Amino acid sequence: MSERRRIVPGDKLNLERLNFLVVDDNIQSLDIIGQALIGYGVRNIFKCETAKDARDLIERTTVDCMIVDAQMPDEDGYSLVRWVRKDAGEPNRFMPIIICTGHTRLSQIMYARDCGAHFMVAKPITPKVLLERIFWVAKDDRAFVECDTYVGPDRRFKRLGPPYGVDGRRADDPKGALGAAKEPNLSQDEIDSFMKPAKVTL
Amino acid sequence: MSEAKVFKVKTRLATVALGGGGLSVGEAVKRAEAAVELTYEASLAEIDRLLSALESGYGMEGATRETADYDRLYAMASQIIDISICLRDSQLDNAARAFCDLIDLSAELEVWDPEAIAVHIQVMRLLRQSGAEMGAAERAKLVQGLHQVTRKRVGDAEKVASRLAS
Repeated sequence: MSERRRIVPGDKLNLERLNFLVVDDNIQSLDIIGQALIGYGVRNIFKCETAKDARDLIERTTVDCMIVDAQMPDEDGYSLVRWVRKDAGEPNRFMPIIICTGHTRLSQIMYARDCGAHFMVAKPITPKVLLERIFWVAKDDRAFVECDTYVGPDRRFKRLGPPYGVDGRRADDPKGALGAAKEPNLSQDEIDSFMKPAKVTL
Repeated sequence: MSEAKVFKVKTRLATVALGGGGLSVGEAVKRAEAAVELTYEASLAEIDRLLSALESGYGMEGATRETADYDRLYAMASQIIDISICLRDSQLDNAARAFCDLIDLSAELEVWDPEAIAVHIQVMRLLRQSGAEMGAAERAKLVQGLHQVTRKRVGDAEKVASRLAS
């Protein structure tokens, strides 16, 4: 599964040769994200203030990662992401996408979940959190799912299986209810014995 | 229902970013913090402009406080959140988020409560002016108070969310 650990100062990331696209109608916010990317060493930063400008750019340039604001007046970020997943050409259709939002409207919660972005990040964005999300996206090994109603990375982060009473879509999803445990739980002594140092002969 | 296609995609971000070289995370964050600090002055000026516009229109004595303009107020509060990294210790972002909650819920329930709106604006101004000097508990209490105002004067957001989800 995807690695979702905290980044540590010693981790290395090479973002210098990658193309980043930032889409935000708020000029100050665009500037904040752009400055953070410059700090990470990114050289190619495209900035767009509208979803329309972003579409035009995506149609003629290869983008390696898009950071997009959810709330924009003419066309919101969720709609732009849906367009990318459905209608942008390859390889941009599969590009990593991070959505930024300060607040999600009650009526948009499901819409946001189903738009096809890799991650959402809460505004105001701090440089550390944004870099961590970029790191996570780079390490993300979730499969892509494509069907009539959704295109994007698998929304299931954890392998808990499908909800009770629903057959999963994966071949290895467990069928039916798992039922109660058949064997007794480990005793505390048995658990402790796993951690006890033991002499071994090599 | 159509069958879902499931496949793996290797992105250039994964190949290049993790392919060696580049900056250490510690150094990258340090440089980014310094670069973002250059935006603080402009962000503070914009926050002050937005708060003044909110006060003159929708404060206690606001000229248009009876006019239900949900989208405009929501957009202004969102803008404050977007750029409030320059006041990250003040809880202004959480107060602006509480304001977004109020306006969003008011729009869903078609309620317009000028008093509740004015209180939110007052608290945002207070946190802008002196949030950083207050204690954490005091700031948290103020924001908590805003959520209580919304629950009491407008309604329960969770009920509306589950209605919308069903």
